[in-house]
Amino acid sequence: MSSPPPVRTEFKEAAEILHRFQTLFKLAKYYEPNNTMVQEQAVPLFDRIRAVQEEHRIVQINVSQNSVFVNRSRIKFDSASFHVYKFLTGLFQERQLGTITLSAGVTREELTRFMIFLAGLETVKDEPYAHLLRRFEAASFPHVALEMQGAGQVSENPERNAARTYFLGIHHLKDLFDRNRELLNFNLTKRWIQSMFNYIASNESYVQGLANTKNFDEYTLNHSVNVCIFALAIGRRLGLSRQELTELGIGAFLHDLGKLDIPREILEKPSRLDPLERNVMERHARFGAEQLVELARSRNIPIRAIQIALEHHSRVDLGGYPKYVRKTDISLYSKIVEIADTFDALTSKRVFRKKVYTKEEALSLMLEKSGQEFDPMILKAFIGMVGAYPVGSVVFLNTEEIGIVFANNPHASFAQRPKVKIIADADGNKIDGPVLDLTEVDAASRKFRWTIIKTLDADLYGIPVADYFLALAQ
Amino acid sequence: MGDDREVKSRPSGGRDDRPDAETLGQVKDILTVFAHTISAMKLFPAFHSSVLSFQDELFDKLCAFLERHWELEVRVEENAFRYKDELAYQDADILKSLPYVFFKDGLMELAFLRDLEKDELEIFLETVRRIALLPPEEGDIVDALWEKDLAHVRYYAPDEFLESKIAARRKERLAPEVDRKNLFQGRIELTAEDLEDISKRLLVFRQKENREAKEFIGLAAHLDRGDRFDIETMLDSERGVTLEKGLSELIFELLYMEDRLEAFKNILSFLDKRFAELVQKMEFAEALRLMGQMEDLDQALSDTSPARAVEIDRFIQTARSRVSLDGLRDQLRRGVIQDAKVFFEFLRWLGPETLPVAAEIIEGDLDPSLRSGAFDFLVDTGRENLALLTRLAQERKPFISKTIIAALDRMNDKSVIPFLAAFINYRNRDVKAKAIQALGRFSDSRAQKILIGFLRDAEEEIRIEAVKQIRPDLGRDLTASLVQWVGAKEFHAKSPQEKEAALQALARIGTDDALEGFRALLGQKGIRGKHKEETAVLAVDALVAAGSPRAVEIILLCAAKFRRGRVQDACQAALARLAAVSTKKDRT
Repeated sequence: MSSPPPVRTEFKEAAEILHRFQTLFKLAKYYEPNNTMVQEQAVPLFDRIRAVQEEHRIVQINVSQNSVFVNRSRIKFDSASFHVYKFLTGLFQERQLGTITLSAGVTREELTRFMIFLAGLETVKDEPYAHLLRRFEAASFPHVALEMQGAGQVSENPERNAARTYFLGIHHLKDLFDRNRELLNFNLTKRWIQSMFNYIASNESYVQGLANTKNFDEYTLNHSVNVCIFALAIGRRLGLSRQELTELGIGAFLHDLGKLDIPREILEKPSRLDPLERNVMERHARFGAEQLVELARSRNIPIRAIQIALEHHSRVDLGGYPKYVRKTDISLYSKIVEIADTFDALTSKRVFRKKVYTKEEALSLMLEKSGQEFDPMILKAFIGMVGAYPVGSVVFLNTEEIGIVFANNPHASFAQRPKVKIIADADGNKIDGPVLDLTEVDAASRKFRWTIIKTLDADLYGIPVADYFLALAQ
Repeated sequence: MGDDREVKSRPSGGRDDRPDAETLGQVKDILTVFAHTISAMKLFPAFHSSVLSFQDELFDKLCAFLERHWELEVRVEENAFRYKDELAYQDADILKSLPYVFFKDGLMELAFLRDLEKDELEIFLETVRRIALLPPEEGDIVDALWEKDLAHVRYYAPDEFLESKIAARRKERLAPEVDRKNLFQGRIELTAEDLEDISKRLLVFRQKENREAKEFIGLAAHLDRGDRFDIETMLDSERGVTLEKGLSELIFELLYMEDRLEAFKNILSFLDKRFAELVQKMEFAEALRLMGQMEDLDQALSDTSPARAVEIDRFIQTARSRVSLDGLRDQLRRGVIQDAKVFFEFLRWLGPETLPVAAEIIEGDLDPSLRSGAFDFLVDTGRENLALLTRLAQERKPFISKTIIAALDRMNDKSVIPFLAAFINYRNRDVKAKAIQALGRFSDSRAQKILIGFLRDAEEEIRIEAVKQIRPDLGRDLTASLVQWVGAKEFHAKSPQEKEAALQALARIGTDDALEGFRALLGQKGIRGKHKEETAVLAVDALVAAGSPRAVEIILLCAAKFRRGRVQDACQAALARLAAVSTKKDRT
């Protein structure tokens, strides 16, 4: 017989439990069970759980539809605790786990043992929950119960779906650019943005990987989709509401609409623009805003989207373009898109620039302009999001293998330790290697197994980074 | 159930189990109530008892079901809901059916989860209602629900729907095929430069390798507390800026930059629509802000770009003229004016044509602050448009008429005098009395002339009121008119109050011409009889008030004429009073 549902837990208590849960999990992953730190960190978690159980009998952690619940209270995460959210959703997702229930009577010993079990359990791709459940039942935890994710949340090939949605965005934008703008089905644009956001929420790293897809010939299409992805991811980090995220997404998606009114000769000029050409090019911001204003006559185009189109090259010090008569500031949304736009532009091959900056170089360049071109706080959030080695970075490891960063580590302490897929062995032979977690520690030596020595220029070596992600979708 | 009992893990599933008859019955009932609730919400306002009753019933039934079954998931078909493959609800009319609201936007599964809250359900129902009322191609239920982000309502809308809308026409593959051979075969040959750099770095790395793996007690958030505070402040600041303010600023900049006239006009066309929407929604502050920006822009462009300035002028005038007074009236009747001050500022901007609206507010049974604001508006705006203002006064609307007079009076400006004259022909006594009082405040010959005109009024009260307002500085001609009126034969037949008022007025004037009137009155032949004696007594009393030597002379003449009776007594008494006053003056 199932237990009666627990009543609501105070938000603060719940958030603290999750934070402690993450801390103990990480320790249990890297240290021996009898390690002092592991034992010590189990105490505050246990105490908090007991405190809640005294009032509510059980503590239940549930992840559903990319939301985290503790005893029926949905926990909202802000920019500072976002790493906890990412950890939990990632952990539950990879195990197809829906709920962990800790009933009254659980001891500290049992709790610690369970956390060690969970941290130590290998991840399998096929039927991960069944695998988890078998091991769980064998280990025997009398006061712990598990439930699988709801059936609707299990997707057979989430990467495939995410990739298809990514390219749907490109097709949708192409329609907009090719056909009469008046025929634009704006509801579809919003649906696409929301769908893309859902994939970002469930697998941000993979979607960031897709954003490595560049198109030299039709730069603006892929670029617009990539900017939208980065902008949504930043917005999510900052804590924007769903409606705000939709508006941000629309603005990011359509931010370069004005380029349709710029002569191709200028857009595709392979060398530096002269002042007159530059002047024409810079008008695309204004033209884009005007086009959206035109569309707003018959559609519910958000005002923020129009702002973004106008302001996305303005710079926070207003030293960019266009030059304003009265404005003394640009909107938060424009600041977000400006960062996303610059990052994608710097890391793309452009007709007028021989060099493609590596992601690391791009971030360094952007950091130099913090406070002038870019809002420092948003830039910080962006760098925290993409990590020291953004997804898609090509890296050389201490083992002399070459890999591609597949997922970054959300925690600041491990910003330099992402997950890396090996694409070439120590001899330089291309292989379909494993995905290594650079936080993994060798049990004997207590040292990290793998460390990044240097980033490599993917363009120089002809490494089609995006294809490694797309391959997962096939 | 003890605390130490073993808790079994609940496996997933149950989705494909056939429901028992009782459960299916409950689901059918819930879905029927769901449909009825939406129907009621489409017909009636939110606070209607039917709506509230259905919502309560739906919530109670859902909670009872979810308490036992944890979730209620239905599959959505074109005009039906299915619960575990069993038909649970169906509508005959596909396009008008409740399931179709979801089906048309590709929503295939809908689930309510345990712990669903009442306000969540209300938000969900309102969202469904809103979308159901929109044309099918306009509303999107999936988009609307996504933005609401309801914790205990789950839905599934597969991306195939998006694909069918976006990519169906395309023949090419959606995503490019990846050549796995290229990815996992071959070699990566590093450049000499990279190899050299790597070599140096490896050396450094290996020297540091002896260090233990980094301790990470005290895991810190990437963004520290100060950063989080800054971000929250930034978000609050952004949310504090109204979208309309942002739009106004943006449009100003766009219009300023845009030198192509056609594009300029397009933007104005958008603004036109926007302005109309703001007025429709009674967002007058935002409407005024928008127009304020346009007026600023007009000034900014008038020298540098006259063609654009002309367009802006035209836009402002057109926008102003398109605001329908009937529409405003309708809004007043239906809605609540949130900010009376802003509303009247908006009327001021619209112009004096809105005076009738303000008058109607005063006439109606509305909020006192609104009525007070309306009165101030009448005064301020009516000041420049006296003709328009006074046209609002009508014989059959005495309350408004009095209000108009009060407004004219408040203005305290001689320019209103001719307009007060209009009330001379009114039949309503109160209205005329109010006009007379207003006229009395002006020591202007025109006002006095109008007051003299009121002496011909059929109503005694009005005549008395008018004559009381006559000032001492009445000019010669008007004095002559008053004297003539007093000297008429029928004057004696008037009531004592009226005669007294008239004679007092003459005495206040006190000029030789006025006093001559007394002399003529008292010197009239055949001034005997009750009425005429009464007149004489009142005249003597009035002369005492005048108190001048000429007045005394006339009293003495009167005393000589009326040797006996009331008049003689009055004269004696008058003279005695005057003597006493004179003595007192001498002493001081």
